[in-house]
Amino acid sequence: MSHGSEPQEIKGLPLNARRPLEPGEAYIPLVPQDGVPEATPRAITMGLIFCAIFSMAAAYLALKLGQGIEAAIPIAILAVGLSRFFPRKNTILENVIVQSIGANSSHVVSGAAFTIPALYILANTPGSGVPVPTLWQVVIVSFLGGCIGILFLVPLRHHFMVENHGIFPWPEATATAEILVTGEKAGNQAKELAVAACIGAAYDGIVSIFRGMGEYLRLEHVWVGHALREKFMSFNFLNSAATLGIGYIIGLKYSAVIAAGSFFSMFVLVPLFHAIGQYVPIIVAPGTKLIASMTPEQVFFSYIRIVGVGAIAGAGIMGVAASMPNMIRSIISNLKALANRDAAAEAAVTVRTDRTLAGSMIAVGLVTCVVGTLAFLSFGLGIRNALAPALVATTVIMVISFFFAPVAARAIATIGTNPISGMTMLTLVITGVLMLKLNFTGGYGMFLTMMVGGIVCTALAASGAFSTDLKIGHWIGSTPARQIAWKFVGTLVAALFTGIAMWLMAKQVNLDGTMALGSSIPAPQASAMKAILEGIFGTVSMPLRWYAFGLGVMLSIVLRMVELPALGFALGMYLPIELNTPLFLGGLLAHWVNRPKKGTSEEDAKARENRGVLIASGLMAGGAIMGVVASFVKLKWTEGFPILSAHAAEGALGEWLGLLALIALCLYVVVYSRQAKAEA
Amino acid sequence: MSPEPDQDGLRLPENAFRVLKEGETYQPVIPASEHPPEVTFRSVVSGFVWSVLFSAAATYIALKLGQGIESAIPISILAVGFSVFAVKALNRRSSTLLENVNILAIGATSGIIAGGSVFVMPALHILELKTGFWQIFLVPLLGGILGVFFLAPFRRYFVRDLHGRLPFPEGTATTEILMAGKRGGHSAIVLTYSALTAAAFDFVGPAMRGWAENFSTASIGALDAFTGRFKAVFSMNTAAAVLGLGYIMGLQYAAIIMAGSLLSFLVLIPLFAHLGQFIPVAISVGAVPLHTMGYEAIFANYVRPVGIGGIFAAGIISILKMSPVIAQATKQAFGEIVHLLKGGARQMEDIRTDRAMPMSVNLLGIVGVALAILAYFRFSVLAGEARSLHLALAATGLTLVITFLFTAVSAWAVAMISTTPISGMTLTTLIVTAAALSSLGLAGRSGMLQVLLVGGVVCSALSMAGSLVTQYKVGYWLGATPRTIEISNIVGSIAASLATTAVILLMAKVYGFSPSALHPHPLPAPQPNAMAAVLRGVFGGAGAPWFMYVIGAVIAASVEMCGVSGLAFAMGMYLPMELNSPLVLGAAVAWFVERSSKDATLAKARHEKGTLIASGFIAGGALVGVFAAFLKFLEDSAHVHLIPDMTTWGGFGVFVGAWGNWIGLTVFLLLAGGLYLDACREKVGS
Repeated sequence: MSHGSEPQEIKGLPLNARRPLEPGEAYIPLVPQDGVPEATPRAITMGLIFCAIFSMAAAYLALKLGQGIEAAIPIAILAVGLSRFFPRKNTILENVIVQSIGANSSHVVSGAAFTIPALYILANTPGSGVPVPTLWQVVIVSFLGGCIGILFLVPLRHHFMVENHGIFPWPEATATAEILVTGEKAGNQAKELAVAACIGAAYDGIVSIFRGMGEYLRLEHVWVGHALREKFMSFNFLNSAATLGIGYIIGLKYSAVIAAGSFFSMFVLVPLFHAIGQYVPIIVAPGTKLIASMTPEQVFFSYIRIVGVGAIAGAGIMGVAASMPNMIRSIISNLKALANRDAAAEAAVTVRTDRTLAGSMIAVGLVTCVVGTLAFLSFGLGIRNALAPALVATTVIMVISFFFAPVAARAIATIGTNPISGMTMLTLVITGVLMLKLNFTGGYGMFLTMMVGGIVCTALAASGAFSTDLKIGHWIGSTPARQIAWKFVGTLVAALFTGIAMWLMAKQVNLDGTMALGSSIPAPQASAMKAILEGIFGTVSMPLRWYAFGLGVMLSIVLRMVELPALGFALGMYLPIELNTPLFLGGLLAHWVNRPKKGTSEEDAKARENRGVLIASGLMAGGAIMGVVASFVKLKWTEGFPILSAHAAEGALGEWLGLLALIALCLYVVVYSRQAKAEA
Repeated sequence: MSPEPDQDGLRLPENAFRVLKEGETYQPVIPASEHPPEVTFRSVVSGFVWSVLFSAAATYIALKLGQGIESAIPISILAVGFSVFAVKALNRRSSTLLENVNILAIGATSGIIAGGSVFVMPALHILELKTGFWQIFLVPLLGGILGVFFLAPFRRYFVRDLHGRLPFPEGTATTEILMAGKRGGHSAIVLTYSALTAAAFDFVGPAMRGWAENFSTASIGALDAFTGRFKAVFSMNTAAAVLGLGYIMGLQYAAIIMAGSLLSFLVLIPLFAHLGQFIPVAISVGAVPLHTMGYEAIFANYVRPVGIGGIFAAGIISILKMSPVIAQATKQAFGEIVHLLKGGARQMEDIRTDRAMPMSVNLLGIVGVALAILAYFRFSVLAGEARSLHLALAATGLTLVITFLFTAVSAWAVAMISTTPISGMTLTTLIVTAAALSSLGLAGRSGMLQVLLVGGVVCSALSMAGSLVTQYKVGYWLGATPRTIEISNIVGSIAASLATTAVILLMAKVYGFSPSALHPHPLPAPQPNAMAAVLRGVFGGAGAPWFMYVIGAVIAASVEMCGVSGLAFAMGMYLPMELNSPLVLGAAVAWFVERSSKDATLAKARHEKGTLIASGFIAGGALVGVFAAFLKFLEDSAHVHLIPDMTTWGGFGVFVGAWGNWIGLTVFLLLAGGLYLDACREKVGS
């Protein structure tokens, strides 16, 4: 069957791309044929360059603003856009490879940014005994973590992509694939996407660079927010087109669960905690002042968030238990492949779009990683007699990565957000306690523990991000083996440049000569990790922290009982409410767009749905790019170019402007999408 | 004497418990085309006899023990028994299925009226307000009738549109009893032995104190430190009847209820307890410092109001969900009236099993009752007040709105889990009404009286709604005429109100309900005393726990957002955990039975057998509950010892007393295992 590779032959994704298959039905990807240029030198070069640039940028932003940037989407757009300047345009498979290599930047960065800066800060703290990590140590941590994450996910590819086809929503992969596909397709879609991206970029630009309206809509000046706040319930809404777009792609069902989690935190637990806690006459750790004098946000960040972490941990563990049969099945099939070389040889002859790493290769890779990790932890850290702790630490890394890699992939598949910070905290706690049991305390204990955290964190981030790549490849028709092979190279480059960025950042000093990291470059997540590490190794006793953690675990059991997606709810509890409310609004918009409309055919309904997703993807992409631009602008002009003063933007004027703009944006999404008609 | 048709093949159709396919209709056991005797001399007379007897019994037990008793199931058993008696001893024909439904409809009003009346009316005596026969007679009667009129428009929605989606545990048990009684043979034997097992089990356990009534981790010595520190307690009632309810309910709802309970007992209570340890003084809601409270006290003072708020909010949400049905019913009612006014002939529905009161009659009935309530409030209760018409209008309006809201809630709750939180909803009614009326300037004694009477109407109406929805479902399964059920309930209410009122007045005169010079040892009447306390508090200036209500409302809304029934969850939060955990055990047994075989027909047959056994458990438990209450009544009035106490049996008794907690858990688990094994003995084609 020869489809030919002329552009006019390439349509959008097949109709069954986003729904479960009927028995006997097979999913045929967009590019099923062999021989289309895929991992060409051009694609690889472009991918590696993007990877390097985005790693540096993302690392800086993660430390400075505490926000990971979405590299996959901007890179996909760049790949499609730049390919027009070559004599032969990129094939879609080349673009997938570019995207796949380049996107390494975001997960390597998030893995490193959550942990490594904590070491730099600790090393700079007098008396902590923590050595300064060298550049190579940082690079090796990231690289090892990335490789482990990829290797643990590969055996699950078949389960996630083929067996569960059409089950998960894959919000991020949807948006990226949409861009890659529409870039290839002639017609209006590219224009629609571009317009939506421009609107999204303009919207978020007005908010972040020009401060033309309120960034956080607390509804203080509308009756609702005020009334809620009197009940110690704090409402907040991040005015961001990108977040709205993500919510649209997640859909109402999942975004409602996330928002419900947030409501439970902010409108149930926070006020309850305060109602009782205000009578407490002493300061309860981990809070730093009397509960009576706290704001709702402070109660949330000091106490309730820990309940969320516990719920995430509980949900993660139960999710692992639920997917245990599949994991065992994949392990068994791996072992079989390893035992039977002929089967592995046969696997190589299967269809191109199903060709992946052989089980034996994975085993070899994993053994290499284990040996590498062990060697690195025992000899690479400059610690003497570290063999026993390194053995324990390696075991912890492998066990946790093994168990949580599928959890991370599932989280990405369902809601597009990876709960790595919760899982990393858990890793730190487990490792730290074990190190204490081995009597391996002090600075080196903390150093080793944080290294373990860094590897695990990167591994989990890598699994999640890699599952997105594989899904895009599955939809479009890439060769998994090639994606996997180049992923390793990309990881190395990303690790190198992330390490350089971190190292540079740690060298930065403030005007008064003190270290910038931790003060003017706040690195919020890493600061949280540092606090946990100090809690474990230090002498600060915080019974409430463990208590709240336990309550969270209990809560996740409750959620599981009512068959709720416990991870989504727990994430909602953990994330600040301002991120969850726009997600929910986005989900509502999706619901309104997809409502049946009288007098239209089924094809029209499909067209409406498609346009809605396209617009949402555009808003998300445009908003994300503008986020990068805004951060660069803010490097030089800290305030941006404000139209409104900070006071006015947070006051009634900013709020009303923001609300009106938001309503206009929603109307644009809903009304425009609902006008779509099937092409005659 | 009519010839007996062959009854062996008599069973519920295969699609009785599942969602119907597109275009499929449910054909009842007695099809609409048949017209067997339904309302007969025997059904009416025996219905009234049971109504009066059970009203008196239920009223007394509720005043004495604070528990309502189950009347529908004992009455259906008695109806079946009477039918056998009629054939064997009187040489008459056996009662038809529909006659038995009619007996049930008339007789079950006893439980309804007693449940609605005794929780509120004695509070009039306790607060020393003016009382009289008419006061106590009229209020439950009006409430009951209002309940019928408010629920009737939604019969088709609950019974037909949601067919297969709501489990109706009690309705299922009642239907199985009526069917087995008619069918005789194998299923009657199963039902009998399972009922006897449950009766023996529930008698030896709670009544003879053979083991602890509730298994609780708080009674485990090894966990004392844990319980004292975290106040996280798991407990489970060991009653066969609750196990049977759980089996019929199914895992979906049981899990939601249990989840609510876990949130209350294992998350919220420990949270309060933990924060409470830092607080040296008492805070407003509770009277003692938090750290001195046990988990039960924290539950009652802090967590339960959260559950009430949740129930309230979930009720509003369920009304919103029903709003298309409400709009349709209203439109239909007005359409009929317009049609009649234009002189058109009444349209008769041609299907017997769907023939109900016309919507227009229904609407007129509501208006009539509303006017009656208004007149009663204006000219009797508030006669001496300034602006009495205003106040009476407000009170009537409140009554109608709250009744409407809570009848829907009550119907939902009974359809899902066969329990309706009557006292919680009545409490909410009292608080809301008191707040509203006192803001209009009503205060003092007539304020309290007015609020209590509103509470009485609402309480009876929601009690009626919960029971009526079950009867509708039973009628739907078996093929009874809805109109007959409605009329029977209204008429039965009169008899039940009379009996209930008589008992309350008698008890007030003989024993009293609160300690006084005249009655130093009154009946405990726990609920009325609680209501009176709330009312004194609200009118005395102490606020209601509004904050906790709001929190509960947010929880219900959050749960509903996730696509889970907020009402079931909030009910779970409100009910004590020991009543919820056995439901999960029973539901788990059902889950395993349904999956015990790969052969779908066999698994289904086993599940049906299990349902029959579970119905037997419910019946046996209900009967023994009534029986034990009766024995206690004899013990108290005659001062004799009738029920042996096993803990006094020498060395064995000491052993039982010390290990009752574990014995209870063990025998209860054995009972659940027995249920599973017995259900799985069923073979296909037997």
